[in-house]
Amino acid sequence: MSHQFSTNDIILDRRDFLRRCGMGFGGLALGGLFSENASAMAAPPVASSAPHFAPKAKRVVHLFMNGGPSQVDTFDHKPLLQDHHGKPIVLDGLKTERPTGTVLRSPFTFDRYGQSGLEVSELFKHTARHADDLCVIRSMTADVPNHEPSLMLMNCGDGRLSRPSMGSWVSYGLGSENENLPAYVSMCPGGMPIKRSENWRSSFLPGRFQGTYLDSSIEEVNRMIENLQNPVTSSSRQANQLSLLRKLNDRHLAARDHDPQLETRIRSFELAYRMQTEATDAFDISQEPAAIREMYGPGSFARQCLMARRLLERGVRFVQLWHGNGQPWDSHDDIEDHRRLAGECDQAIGAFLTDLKMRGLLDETLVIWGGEFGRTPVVELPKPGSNAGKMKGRDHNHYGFTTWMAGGGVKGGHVHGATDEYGFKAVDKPVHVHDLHATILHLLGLDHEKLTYPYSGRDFRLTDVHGNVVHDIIA
Amino acid sequence: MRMLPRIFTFLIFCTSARSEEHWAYIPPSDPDLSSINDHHPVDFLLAKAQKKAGLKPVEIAPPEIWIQRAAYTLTGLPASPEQILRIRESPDEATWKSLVEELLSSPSYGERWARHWMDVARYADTRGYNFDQDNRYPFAYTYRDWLIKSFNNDLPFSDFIKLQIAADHLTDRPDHPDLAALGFITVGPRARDLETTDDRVDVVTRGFLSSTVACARCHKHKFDPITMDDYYSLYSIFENTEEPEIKPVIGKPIDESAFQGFQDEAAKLEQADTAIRQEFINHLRNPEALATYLDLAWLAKTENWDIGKATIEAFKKGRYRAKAVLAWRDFLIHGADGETANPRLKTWSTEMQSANPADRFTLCQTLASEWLNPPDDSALKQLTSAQDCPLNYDIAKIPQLYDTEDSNPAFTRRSALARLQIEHPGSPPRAMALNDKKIWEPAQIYKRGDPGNRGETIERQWLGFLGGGKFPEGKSPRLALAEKIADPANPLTSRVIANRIWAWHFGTHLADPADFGLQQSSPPLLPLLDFLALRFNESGGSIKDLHRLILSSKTFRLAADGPEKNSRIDEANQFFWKWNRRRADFESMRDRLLATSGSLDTGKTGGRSVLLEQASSDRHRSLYAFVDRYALANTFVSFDLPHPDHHAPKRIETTIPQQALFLLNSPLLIRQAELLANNADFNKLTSDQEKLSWLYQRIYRRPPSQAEEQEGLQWLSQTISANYAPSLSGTWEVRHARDLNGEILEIKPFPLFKDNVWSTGPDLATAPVPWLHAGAKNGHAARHFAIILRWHALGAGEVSMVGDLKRTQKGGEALEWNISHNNRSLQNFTLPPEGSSQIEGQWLPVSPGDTVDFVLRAPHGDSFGGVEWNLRVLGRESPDAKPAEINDFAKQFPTSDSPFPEIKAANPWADFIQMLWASNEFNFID
Repeated sequence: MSHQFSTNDIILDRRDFLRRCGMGFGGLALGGLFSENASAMAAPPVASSAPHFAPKAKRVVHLFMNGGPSQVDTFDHKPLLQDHHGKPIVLDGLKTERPTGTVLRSPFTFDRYGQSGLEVSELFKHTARHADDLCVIRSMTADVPNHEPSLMLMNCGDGRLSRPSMGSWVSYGLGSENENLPAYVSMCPGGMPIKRSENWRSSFLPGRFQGTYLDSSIEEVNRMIENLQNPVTSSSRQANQLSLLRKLNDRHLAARDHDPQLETRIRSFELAYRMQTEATDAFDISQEPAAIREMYGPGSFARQCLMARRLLERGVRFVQLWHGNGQPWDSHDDIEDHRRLAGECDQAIGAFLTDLKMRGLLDETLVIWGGEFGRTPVVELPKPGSNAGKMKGRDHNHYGFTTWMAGGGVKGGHVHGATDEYGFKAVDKPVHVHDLHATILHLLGLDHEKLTYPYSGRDFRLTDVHGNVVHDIIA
Repeated sequence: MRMLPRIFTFLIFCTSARSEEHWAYIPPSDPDLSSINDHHPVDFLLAKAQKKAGLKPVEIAPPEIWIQRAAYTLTGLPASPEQILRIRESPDEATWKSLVEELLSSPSYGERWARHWMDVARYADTRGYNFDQDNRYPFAYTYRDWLIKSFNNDLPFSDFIKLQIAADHLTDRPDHPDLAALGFITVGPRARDLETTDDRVDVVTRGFLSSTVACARCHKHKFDPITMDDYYSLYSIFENTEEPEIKPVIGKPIDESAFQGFQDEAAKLEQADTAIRQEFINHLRNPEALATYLDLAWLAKTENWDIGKATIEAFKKGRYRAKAVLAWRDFLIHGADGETANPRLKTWSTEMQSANPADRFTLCQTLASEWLNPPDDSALKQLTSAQDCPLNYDIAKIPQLYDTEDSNPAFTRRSALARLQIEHPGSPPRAMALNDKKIWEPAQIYKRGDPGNRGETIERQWLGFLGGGKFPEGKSPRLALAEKIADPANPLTSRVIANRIWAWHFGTHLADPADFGLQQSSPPLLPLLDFLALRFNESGGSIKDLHRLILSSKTFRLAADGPEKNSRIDEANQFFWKWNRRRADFESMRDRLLATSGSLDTGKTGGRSVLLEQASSDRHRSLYAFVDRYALANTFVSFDLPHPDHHAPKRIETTIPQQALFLLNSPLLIRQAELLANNADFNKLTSDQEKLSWLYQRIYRRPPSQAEEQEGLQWLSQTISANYAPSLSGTWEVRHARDLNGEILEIKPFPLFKDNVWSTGPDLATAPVPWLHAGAKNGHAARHFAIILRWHALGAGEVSMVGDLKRTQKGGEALEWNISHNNRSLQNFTLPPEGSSQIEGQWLPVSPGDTVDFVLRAPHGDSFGGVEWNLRVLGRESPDAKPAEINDFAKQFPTSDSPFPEIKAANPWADFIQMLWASNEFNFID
């Protein structure tokens, strides 16, 4: 049974209020952010709900390989490691988190793919089928070789201080295209990555710009979003309740002068009611044809890729997909573990790209793949209390690592920058995380120097005082 | 329209950006009240500004609105019916005044205002990210409770300031309850020491002075006259503090009889920790280990090892700690070489240089054994007292040498103590205290904010833009700082708090609370702000007096609507010509809801924080919520609670659908609506009319109008009873019955449940019906006895029983099974030896009390073995609804034969109540 709300029969023009009061699940936009309590003192932040210039991408998917995937075992082939296996190299001040030893060869084979001949290891052979769409940045750099600050840097643009996440900035800048769904969704199967919700926090931006977290290992759609479904009241009963609420509120409204706050709140219930169905629908991948589900393959990562596609189709602005709780890609002990990890996500990523292309969504969707940093080409040495005693793993490496992007206005089949001959340090056209952020915002039509928010006496931005757009990778 | 004030602002900014003339940095001045007559000064000053702007006066709201507003702003709870009656019957100033006094003296007042201050103080019950250790602050609540008490006692504001910054210097006993005030400094987020210290500078300066001093961390302030000297003076004050490992006890535990139990548990943990530390000390003093450390340290000194190298080399020798190697190295650098060298060590060091590795170790062994038992004349004897000698590390200092393997269990032990302190009823309250370090490090500027790039040493000084000057000798600079802030001559302090208090009553501020710096032009209502600030100082910093002043004004009692023309002139109501209608904040919304449902216990204040999502927390006000800054609850995020990582100058108010979802679907609303619908007084009423009126009184604090009554009754009469029938669910029973050639007789329960199976006797082989049994996932039938797994409907709809069956034993006779609907068996199936079956039952309509059985029979003989089963029930409310799994036999396997729960029909009144709570009338303060 369904109950229909019509917005037409409401006395006043709600659309106007909607525009002014910044409504919707994730906040439509920031235009009227402060109009709820406008006053001369609360000068609204100057920014518009429209991009600063024509965008190449409308939405973002960030495939976050948390823990730090090794570049030399995935997208940055270094044949020298084979020849120099077991030999020492001069580290030249490249200090990492833990003691390291000699060169460790990659146990994985590389092949060339596509017309571009992009080199990709066997770990990502499904992804590699899209080689001509990938824009591989092999010269990424971050600041320190530790997970926590690097996660914060990659997500929030600062390693130490509480700052809003990139997804929050994007939703603040562009709002959502669908008021019935959150603008910014972060999914992680089976729990949360380290630093938990700090990774998608809104910090000093209003709370509505915070990422909505979902545990993608939960199969019952109803349990994924808090309060999305009533555990007791049937939908017909609830529809009846809402008709009562409308009567109560209309009477209350009629006895007062025109007040947008009251209207806005009335409308929020109607939105909420619709959202129960629409959000439930968006996350329900059982509605997908079997062939599509098979293409994505089994497992949580596939589930969340498929959910991500359904969300993107419905206008969600920013989706972040974490590989898993904790820091799965942190292969300190044995790099062979990368095989299992890639096995959990490669097919799904390949299918996801295929699916986006099939639906014509890839052009407007920026797909980003990477971790908070990469790994060393040299072996990690064992240390009391922290290592299983194997000597087949790699330590953290923020001096040079790989991030790739696809769709959303980047060059396909393109390699940008390079690490040294071992794959340790970015030497050609280094791209700092701040530069990556500036570029992502640029692709979305946002000037990273103009997307600001006034807080504690000054204007803040995602890139703080840093960041240069990497124009070379833009198609 | 809305652009105008900003352009205006900009012009003013251009003309008066000189700091010596900046409105906030010069003392407040008394406005001209010469023509006030008998007007209230607040009304008079506003009327002046309103008149100038062309605004017409609006009417006074009805008296019952005054009291509801006052109850909201002063206590956050609804006004009592009796209070409403009093003001309605005598809406005079005397009655109004006495009602305000009544609210101010209610303990709920302190709770309401403590929560306001908790936004300022970025209060949380956790420290933030803490690796995988327990991140809770066991005693943050004692700070919250101190705030409640301080507001209720109307603690003079200067004491309120000084105690929160420097209570340790102002209290005379180590167990003084006021030490809890230091939570203002210590409940912030923790990161590295640098950030923790910065956070403290920030909360003090923005919290009390609305000044962004922390902007001067890397360079001088971009806009305000705030220098890096200012920042690092304050930074140094907090850098030179430490928090005692054992926090001072400041009161009695909730359960005094449990105190001894707590002490014993805590002692156990402490003993375990001490034993481990002692073991480490013994390790350092072991002759063989000492020789190894000396050997490694000598190499470390010679080859200038870093921690990485030391780790690897120590690891090669066995269980040796890299940090101990480096501690020895550092000791040897001055102990064995150079002018300060000990002669015995110098000799050893010289011998080491010429020895080969094997001989080196022998030299170290000799030295070690001599050192550990030095003859009286040994030069080594005096070294035993050298502070940095690793042989002298004591229980307190030894953790400095821990490596990861030592630290992890140490963290675990510390977490265990925290958990004990949080959860044990005998754990006494403690203050999150702070004290100055014994020896003060000098104050230094970090160039560009970089601690690795220290600038010159500076003298700790008071903020330059407020007069500056070196902090006096002979007094803790932290206390001196507190006194400077609390000084009535400080032009910012009283304005900042008066501005906050104004907004906590009226919803908007007189000046931007985020920043009183040069970017903020003189606020249009500065005379009013100054007036309030001056009266506040004159009253000795009495916040309650300021409330009295504000609430006695007509302005507080104005109607929320007014002439259309006024709205065109001043839509944002910055001249307060009408009451700012606004949505109740989250805490008050929840508290008012719980107060009207009857759940809230307002009898006592204070106590440990509670988890808001638990039903047992429904008797607590919202300010007692456990706030986890690391994983801030979604409800808090949805309802605009500021993130406690930062001081929050004000709350941003939004209206988003998640708030509506909370009111529509959250367990709290469902629970409370049900509770109120079951209220005994309510149910004594016989007519729906009386009931409706009772609810309006209870929730809206007014009777319904005739139209409302009709509308409500009409709604009730139209509710469809089928909608309130129990929703589709069911429960399981395990039964057995005689099976006479397919005729099932005497269905009855099993007499025995043992070892997780139902059977007819303790030993299956000799039981009255041998082998007959049923477990969660498997069982065994018997010839002439069927097993019946019965699903019992508790609601109405359609169900289908599904699942799988598998024989567990090879060979034997075939089995039979069927599904029965209300004891009528449907199609029969055979389960052959070694076979398996899929159960795909047809859709069956059910009403409460109906049964659907899975029946397993063994009609063909005694030899067949067990059957594995998995049995589920799918349900749907109607044929076109989407099916969902509603029951799973293995998950809900009944382990007792208690009667199944009675499921009552839902009550339409509960739905009605929920909507009253969800309505605008309940949520807006008019």
